[in-house]
Amino acid sequence: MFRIVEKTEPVPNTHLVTIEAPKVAAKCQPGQFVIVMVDDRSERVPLSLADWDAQAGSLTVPVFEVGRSSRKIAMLQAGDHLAHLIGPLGCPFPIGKHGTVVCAGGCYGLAAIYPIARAMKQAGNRVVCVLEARSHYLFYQQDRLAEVADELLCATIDGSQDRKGHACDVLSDMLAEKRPIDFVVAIGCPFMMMLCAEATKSAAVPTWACLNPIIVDGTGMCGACRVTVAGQTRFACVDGPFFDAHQVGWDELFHRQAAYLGDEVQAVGQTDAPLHPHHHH
Amino acid sequence: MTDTSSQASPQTAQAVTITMDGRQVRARAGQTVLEAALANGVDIPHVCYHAEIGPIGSCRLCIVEIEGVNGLPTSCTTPVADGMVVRTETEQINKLRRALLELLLLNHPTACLVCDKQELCLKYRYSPTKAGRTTGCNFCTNKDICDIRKLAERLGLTELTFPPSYQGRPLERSEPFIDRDYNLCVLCGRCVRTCRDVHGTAAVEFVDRGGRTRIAGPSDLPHADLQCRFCGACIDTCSTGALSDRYAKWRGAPERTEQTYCAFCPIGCPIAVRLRGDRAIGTGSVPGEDPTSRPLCALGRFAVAEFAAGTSRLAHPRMKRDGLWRRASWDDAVRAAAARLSQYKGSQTAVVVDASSSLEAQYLLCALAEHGLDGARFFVAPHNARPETALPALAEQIRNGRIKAAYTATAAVEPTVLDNLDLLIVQDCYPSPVSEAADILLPTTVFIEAGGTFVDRDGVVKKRQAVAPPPGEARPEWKIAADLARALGEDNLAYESLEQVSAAVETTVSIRSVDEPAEQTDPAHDLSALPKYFRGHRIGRYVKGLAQLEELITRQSGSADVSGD
Amino acid sequence: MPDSTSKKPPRPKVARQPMPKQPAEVRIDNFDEVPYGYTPQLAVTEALRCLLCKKPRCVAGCPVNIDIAGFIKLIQEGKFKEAARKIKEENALPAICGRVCPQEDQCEKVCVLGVKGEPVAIGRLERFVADYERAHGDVRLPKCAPPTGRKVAVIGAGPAGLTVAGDLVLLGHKVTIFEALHKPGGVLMYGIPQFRLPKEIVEAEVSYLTQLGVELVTDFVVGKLDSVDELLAQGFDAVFIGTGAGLPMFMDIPGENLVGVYSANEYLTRSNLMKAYLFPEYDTPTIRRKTVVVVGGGNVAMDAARTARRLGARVTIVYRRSRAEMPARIEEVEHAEQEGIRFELLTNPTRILGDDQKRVVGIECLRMKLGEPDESGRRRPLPVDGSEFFIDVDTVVMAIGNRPNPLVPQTTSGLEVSRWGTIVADDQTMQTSKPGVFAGGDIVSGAATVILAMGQAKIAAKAIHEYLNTLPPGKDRQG
Repeated sequence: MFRIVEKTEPVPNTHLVTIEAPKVAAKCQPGQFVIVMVDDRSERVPLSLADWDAQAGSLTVPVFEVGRSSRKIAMLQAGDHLAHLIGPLGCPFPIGKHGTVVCAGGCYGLAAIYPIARAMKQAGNRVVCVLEARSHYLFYQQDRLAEVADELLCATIDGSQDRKGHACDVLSDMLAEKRPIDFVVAIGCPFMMMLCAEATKSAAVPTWACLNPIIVDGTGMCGACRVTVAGQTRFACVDGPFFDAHQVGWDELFHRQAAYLGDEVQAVGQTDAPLHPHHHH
Repeated sequence: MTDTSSQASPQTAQAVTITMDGRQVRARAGQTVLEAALANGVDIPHVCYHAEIGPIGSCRLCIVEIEGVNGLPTSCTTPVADGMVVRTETEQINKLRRALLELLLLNHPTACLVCDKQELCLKYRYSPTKAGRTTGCNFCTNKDICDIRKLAERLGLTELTFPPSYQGRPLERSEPFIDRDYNLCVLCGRCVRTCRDVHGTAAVEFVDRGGRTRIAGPSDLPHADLQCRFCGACIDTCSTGALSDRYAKWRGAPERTEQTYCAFCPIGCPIAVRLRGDRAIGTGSVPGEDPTSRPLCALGRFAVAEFAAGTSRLAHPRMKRDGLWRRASWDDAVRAAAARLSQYKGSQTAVVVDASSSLEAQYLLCALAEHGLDGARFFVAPHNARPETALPALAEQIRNGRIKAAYTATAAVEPTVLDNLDLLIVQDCYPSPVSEAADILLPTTVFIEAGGTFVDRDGVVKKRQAVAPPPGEARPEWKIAADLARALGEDNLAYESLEQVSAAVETTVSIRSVDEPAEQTDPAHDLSALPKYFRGHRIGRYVKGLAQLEELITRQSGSADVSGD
Repeated sequence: MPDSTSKKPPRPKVARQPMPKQPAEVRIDNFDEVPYGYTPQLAVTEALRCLLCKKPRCVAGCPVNIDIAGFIKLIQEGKFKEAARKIKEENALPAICGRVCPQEDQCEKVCVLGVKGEPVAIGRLERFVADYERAHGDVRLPKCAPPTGRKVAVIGAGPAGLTVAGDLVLLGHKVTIFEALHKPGGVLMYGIPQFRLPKEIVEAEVSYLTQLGVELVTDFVVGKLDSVDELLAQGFDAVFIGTGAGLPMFMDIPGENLVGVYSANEYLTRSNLMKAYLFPEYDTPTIRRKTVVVVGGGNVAMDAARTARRLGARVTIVYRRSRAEMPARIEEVEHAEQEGIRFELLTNPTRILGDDQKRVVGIECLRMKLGEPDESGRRRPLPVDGSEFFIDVDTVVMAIGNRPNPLVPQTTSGLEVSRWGTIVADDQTMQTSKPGVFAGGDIVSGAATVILAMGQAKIAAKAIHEYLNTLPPGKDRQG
C-alpha cells in the first residue's frame, strides 16, 4: 500500500498527488512514469512524474480527470492509500548539452515538463519553457518552472494571458524571429505535441514528444501501447515514452487512444458518488 | 403563460402585419416581436427566452431596431403592432450582441469557442473528453447541442476582450440523476423559471447577489429536500452543460427521437426516446404535450434507457438439465416448454402475466391458459408489486400443491414456494430468484423494445412502439406466446404479427374501466409515489439514481424501507 | 498370502476413467473450470489400474521426476493427503501441474499401459490429490532446514521462480521473490485463463510458499527499480532469473496496429489478470467483440479463442499448418471445437483491413500447403497462389508466440545472451555467464511449458544450493 502524502487541485480538473514510495523515488529519472492502481479492481493507470524527493521518499504525479480511473484517483485525499504503484517505468530521457532547449508543456505536461527542464538546465543548457493552457486560470507550477528556466513563454487559447494561441504558435514565433532553438521536448496531449512537431519540422529542430497511448502492463509484455515511429512499431512503455516527434504516426495514435470510448462512457456513468452528499467533488 | 402557437384561429387573435428586415411578415396581436420572428424563420439570437417559459428580458441578446422607438428594445418583451418596422441585424447590433455574449460568458470556459485550431482539433477528437471539471467545449457534455456554442459561432465570437475567470464552484455529482457544474452556468435563469412557472416548484433559484449570484436550491439544501421531483426539465432547458443527465451525458447527441409510452406505472406517460444509432440513450417528455399536466416522473425521465441497457439483461433462451443452465435455441426451448406444459393441463397449472405487459401479451397468454392448457389458472400481477406479496392466492396454491406447474411472465411471484413446483417456465427481461428456479428461461423485451396496446389509468387506449432492439435473442412477449401456442397445437392463436394480435384483441377483448382503488397519486408530483418494482424486479437495482433517491426519501420520511434488496 | 498390512485390491478391468466436465453448451457462458475433477471413487478406480511397475518408465518421463508409482500406490490405499505430500517432495505446485502439464507428451506417453491400451491418467490423479488436500484444509508445511544465512533473490514469480523459491526455502535459505506485476504467478496468473487454471489455486500455491517463509515483493520491476547487479551488491548471495518470455510477437503484416488487433498477451492479461470479463465491476475495459480471429495453433491460441467465445464472440482460429502440426494440447483443441470455435487450417493472414476510424473490419488470408520440413522439424507451409479470401472480423488476436522479455538481460552486466534474446545457461546447472546468477524457464529455453520451466528451476535450485555452500563462510554480507 502506498500512502498519499498530499493531494491538491491547483487548477480546475488537474490534480497533483504526492505519494510515499521510497524505493521508487530513489530511482526516478527525468522522462519516466509510474503506473498506479487505486484498488485491486482498478485499471493500471500510467502517470508521468512531476517530481520526486529521494530524501523524503515521495514522488508527485499530475492527474487530469478524464474518466473513471482518473476520477477515482482524483477523489483520494491525503492519508488515503493506493493499492499498487509500479515504477519507475519508461526510458529515462537522455539529457545532453544542446544549447537552447525549449521545454513545451500543456495540460498535465505543465507539471511533467519540470524534471526535464531542471535536468536540461543542470546540464548547462539555456532552457526556455513554453507553456500552453486554455485560459490564464489553468496555469500552475509556473513558479517552479521559473526556478529552472531562463525564460517562460506562455500562450493561452483564449488570449487571456500573453500570446493568444498554442505552444506551437510560440515556437513558430520564435523560429520566425530567428531565435536559436537547438532542441525541443514536448509533453501534453497528442494534439498539442503533434502541432509542436509540425512547427519545428521545416526548421529541422530535433523535437521529442512524450507519447501517451493506452498502457496495460508497462513492462513491454503486452504490446497495447504500440505506436508507429519512422514506420516501425515501437512499444511506448519500454522503447519510449519519448520519441522523435517528426517520425511519429500521429493519426494512428489518436485512433488507438479512442479504442474504448464506449466502455469508458459506461464506466464513468457508474463511478460511485462520494459517501457524504455535501462532500463535493 | 404566453401563447406560443402561431396557428391560433383567426377569430381568437387579430392578424397583424409588420416589416422585418425589409420584408412583410405576418403576426398576431399579443405576440412579441421575437415570437413573430421565430414563427417566420427569422432566428433572432436569444438566451434567456425559451418557448415553454416565455421571456424575461434579462440577457438583452434579442435587441432590435424598431423604427420610431428610441434605443434598442428587447424583441422578446416588445409586443407587435400593425405596421411596425423592425431591423433584427445591423453591424451595431451584432457588435453589441457579441459584447453581451462575452459578458454572459465571463465565468464560463470560452477557450474552445475562440480557438483558432477548432477544425483541426475536431478532426482528431472523436468525442468530448470526459472531464470532471469542464474547461472548454471539447471537455463538455453539451458540446453537440449547446445553445451558447451555436450562438457564439453565429455571432462570430473569435476574440475575448474581457479577462475570463473560473469560479471554482464545487462540482455537484452526488445527488440522484442530475450532475451540476455551476462553473458553466451563465445565469440565464431558464431552469429557475421552468421549475417555478411550469412545475410550481422552487427547487432551484438565484441565490446571493451581484457578482456572487449563482443557482442553487434555496438555503443550499439538497434538491430532494426542496420538492424537486427529478423531472429533468431543468436539464432540458439549460442553455449550457451546467446541468446534465448523469447516465446520458457522455453518450453523444441524440440522432433521432421516437415516441412511445412509459410502462413503469399505470399512468402511461408519453415519452420521447432519444436514440443514437439504435441505442436508447435517454428519454424526455413529449414536446407539444401540455407540460403542466404531464411532466415526467424521475423514472420516466431518467430510468427508462438505463433500465433497458443493464448488462445482466437476459439475452438467450436457456434450459436446465442436471441442475446446469444450458443455452438452447428458441425452437428447442419453445418446443420443450410446450411438451412439458402439455403434461400439466387444467387447474394444476398457473399462467401468470404482469399488469405492465401489453394487452396482446396478456390476451394471448390468457387464451393459451384457457384453450391450450384446458383451463389453467390465470393470474395478473399488479403494477409495482413486490414478489413476496404480489399474488398471495397463487403462492398459497403452489404451497399446498394444488398448482404443480407455472408459466410466468413476471418475477412478482413469491420465490420461496417455487421449489414445490414440478415445472416452472419463466419469460422475463432480468434474472431474479424466480428465473433462477426455472426449468426453462425465455428472454423477453422491455417496453421500449416492443409494440403493444395498453389502457392508461384514465381509461385511454394507447399503442406503444418498438423503438430500440432488445439485447441478444430476446423476443417480444406476444411472439413468445404465439410460438408457444403453435407448439401446443393452438393454431388459431399462432399469430404471425403484432398487428394480427392487436386486431384480435380489438374484436375479442372488451375494455371496461374498473374503479381503481383510491390511490391516485402521481409520481411526477410526489416522490414517495415512485414505483419501486417493475415486473417484480427492484428497479433501483439497475438504475443507480433511483436507489439513491429511494434512500433519500426513506431518510426524509424517517421510516425504514421494508422492501430491502 | 502377500503382506498383510497392505491388502492389494484386484486390478479392475476398466478403461481409463473419464473426467467429468462441464458440457460445452453450458461452459461457453461461464469462466468456471471446465473439468470438475475426479471424485474419490473415480480416483481410486483409476489408481488401481496402475501396475506399480518396479522400474516405472513414467518417472523418467516427468521433467521433475515425481515418484509417480509412489503417490499412486497411496491413492490406491485411500491415503490421498499422503499422496499429495509425496508429490510435493519433488513438485511444490501439483494442483497447477495436474492441470496444465502436457502429460500426454511426458509421463503418460511412456506409461506401459499405453502401449496396448490407455495410459494411467497420472495428471488427473495428481490434480485430484492436490485439490483434496487443499479442500480438506490440511496443507501441511514441511519442516525447513535450519537457516543457512544465505540470501537468494528470485526474479519473477512465474512457474520457474516459484519452484526455485520452494526448493531453496526448504533447504534453509532466505528467499525473496521480486515480481513486476501486482499479482504473482506469471503466466499462471495472466496467461492461462480461469477456466483452465483458477486463480484461487495459484494464490493458494503462492500462499503455501509464503507460509514456508518465502518473501514475496510485488510491484517490483527488476531492471527499472534495482538491477541484478544492484541486488547482488545489496547482499544477495545468488540470483535466479525467471522472467519468462513476455515479449509478444507480431507478424508485421499491414494493419497490425489497427484498433482491435491484440497480442495474445494483452488479450489474456486484460481478461485473466485485470478480469476485464467482469467489466464494469472491474475497471479495465471489456473486450467483448462480435467476431474474433485468433492467429496461431498453440495453447495460447486455444486460450485466447476460448476466452473470446466466453465473451460472446464468434471465433475462428487461423493456423498456417495442419491439425497434426498444431502444438496445442489435443485436449484443448478438442475443447475448443466442442465450444463451437471454427478452425481455418492451412491458412495464413496476409493483411488486416480497417474502416475510416482505423477499426478492424476484416482479415485477408491465404491458403497454405505443406512442403518440406523446416528447422523445427515440422513441414514448412507454402502459400497457394491466388487463394486469398476475406474473413469479416472486428478483432484479431495474434497468438503466434513470445520471445524473452529483454529488460533484465539488457540491464545486467556480463550476462551472455543468445541472438534470440534468451539467456545462455549451462544445461546441467542453469548457471549463466555471470557468477552467482542462474536462470531458468522461458527466459532460457524460449517460450515453452510450465513444467519445463519447473524442471529447469529444480536443476537451478540444486545448483544454487551447491553454489551457496561453496561460498566462503566469512563472506561480507548484510543482514
